[in-house]
Amino acid sequence: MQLIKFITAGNVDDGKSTLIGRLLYDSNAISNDILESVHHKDGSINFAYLTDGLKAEREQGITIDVAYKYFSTNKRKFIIADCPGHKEYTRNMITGASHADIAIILIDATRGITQQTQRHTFISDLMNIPCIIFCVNKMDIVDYDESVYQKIVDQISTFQFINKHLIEIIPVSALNGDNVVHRSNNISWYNGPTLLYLLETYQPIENNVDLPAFMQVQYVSFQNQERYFFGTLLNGNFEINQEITIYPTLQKNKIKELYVLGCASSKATKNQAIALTLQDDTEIQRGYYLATNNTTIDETHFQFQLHNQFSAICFWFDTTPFIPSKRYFLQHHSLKTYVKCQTITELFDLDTLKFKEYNHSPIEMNAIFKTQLTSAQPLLLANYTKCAALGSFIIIDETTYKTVGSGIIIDN
Amino acid sequence: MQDYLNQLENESIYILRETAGQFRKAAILFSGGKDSATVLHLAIKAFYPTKIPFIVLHIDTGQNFPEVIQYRDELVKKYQLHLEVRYVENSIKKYHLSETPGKFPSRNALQSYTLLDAIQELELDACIGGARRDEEKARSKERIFSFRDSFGQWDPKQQRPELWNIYNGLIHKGENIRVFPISNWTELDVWYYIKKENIPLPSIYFSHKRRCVKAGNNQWLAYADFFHLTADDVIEEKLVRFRTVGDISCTAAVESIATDIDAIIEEIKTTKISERGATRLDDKISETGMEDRKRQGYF
Repeated sequence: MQLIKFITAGNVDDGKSTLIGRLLYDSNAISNDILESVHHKDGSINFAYLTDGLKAEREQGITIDVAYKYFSTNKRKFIIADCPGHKEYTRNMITGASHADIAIILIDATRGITQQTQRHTFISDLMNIPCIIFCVNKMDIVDYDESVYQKIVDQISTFQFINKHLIEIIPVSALNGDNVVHRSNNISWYNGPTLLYLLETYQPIENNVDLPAFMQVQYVSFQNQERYFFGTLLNGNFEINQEITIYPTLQKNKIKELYVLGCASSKATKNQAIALTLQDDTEIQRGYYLATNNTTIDETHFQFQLHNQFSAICFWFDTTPFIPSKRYFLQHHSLKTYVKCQTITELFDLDTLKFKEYNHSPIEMNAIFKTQLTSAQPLLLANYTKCAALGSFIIIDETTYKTVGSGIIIDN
Repeated sequence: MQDYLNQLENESIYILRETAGQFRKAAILFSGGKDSATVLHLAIKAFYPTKIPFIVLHIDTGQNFPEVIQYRDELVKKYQLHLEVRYVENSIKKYHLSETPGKFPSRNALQSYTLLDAIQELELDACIGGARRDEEKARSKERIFSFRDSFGQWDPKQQRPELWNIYNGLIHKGENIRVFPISNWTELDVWYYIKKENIPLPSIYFSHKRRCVKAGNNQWLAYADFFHLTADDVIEEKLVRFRTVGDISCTAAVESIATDIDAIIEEIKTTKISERGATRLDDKISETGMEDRKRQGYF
């Protein structure tokens, strides 16, 4: 059984909460006492109450923050990040997208594709979510009219994507449950899968980039005259006696002992949390990388290299604007260093949905911009699309310690 | 089944190692319940073959099930843990606090005082807890690294965005991070994992005969001599188990014949009542009971 994470995005009134509620309800994921608290007096159910958890959200009838919901079917376990739909909450969508295998984007059939739909599609594309499902909702209100659906399908086919995705478009009525969990009799002209069927059968494609095996050191412990390094193996296999290179010092060493999940082991595989000791005692700090020696890498194709200067697309989250001349902290997973902006080249225009040349306007909350950055320490980086683990970072304000932005590495 | 449990396990271990890497002194908040037992088990695996770099902190309300204290002490001995216990009784005396009045006097809300004092006294910059997002609607909006100000308050509108698996644990003196490594686990996930890893649990999780007192609509509490009962109260011997472990005064028993983990899993799968809905008197006070307590520094 697999674990699948997905986000839901849409305009404020597209019925996103209703869709999630329907998905949970029809797959029997809601217990009676919780249902009781969301029932209206007339017996109908306010599905939105299942996702709007906070007092202010209930009072204002809006979703403020990403809410995580869980449900399982016989086939899979799902984690939903429900992202609020307001323009000002782009940051929540990016946050949710960073964890997602699938993006569900809601389109209101009565309103068609809006600018917000295109924004959500753009962010899902930029964040390289492998599967994007468009749910054309409220089909009941347009009398299940095929031409309404077809018009939207035609529009989506003109979208231009940066990355490759599996794309599906489903006509649904979240309110009545058409094509959510159960196939609809009202939409007999549609022969495609239901939403749940897609969620249950979608197979994430393994990113087969030719990379060395590597891990980032999260924690170092010195006990019993031995130095232990802890981290998660992000690619490939590690074995005892294997030669490795330490980044950024570029020293060579050899794996002496390996531990996987509480047991000594001779081998470790991708995504396992491991601990190891090395043959020669050298200084290795938190944030350093250990990687097998790579001989097969074509450097024009992929750069498994240290960089002090790099290009990135950044997302700004804070109410205080980004100040290009200011020093910030950059956290590249377990490594924290200083970062400064060299230039901002382009700013994403949320209205035209295109990057345009930067004209020195303030970088406000929810801004998306292309920039050249310089870090105090060299970082082991890769293009985000090729390797998300090496291509993503967050930006932290040095005085408030708030997470004020994030970014993904792009080619120069 | 194995697949996704491994994924959850690796994710949780990653979080625990980030906690060790980013903080000077962190404590696992241990209640003796299945969730904190799972977190402790994960921590032991995460740092094997070295000793866990965390202390274990128990906020003792004085209303514990004796079985849970016995279980706690066995674990401390087995894994040679550094246990610190702080007593709500002492906070009551120090701050002239009063228990929630009524038949079943509760000290649940008073734990916040003891916890905040312990954080200060032990100079903890992080506290690790077993809370899960599926438990309750306020918790569904909680971060993995959850920021608390110097008053211990949680502000849901001022949470730090959490992207990928990058956790920002930077804080000023007096502030604190609550770390929730099993945020993404559900009640059933925890039980499957307990079964797979053979994690020992306090005996009260399994069906046993117990003297119980009726506490409302179909809810039964384990009898305790600090309850203010009258002649009208119904006391009966019941065949019960506990689905969550909290204080005697606010953790209701469920009638059950489940004597092993397989039977418990079957019971949870078929029951139509949520975990906290079935067992927690403290959430029933108002629609936003949990949110209000969290804002004030509760776990």
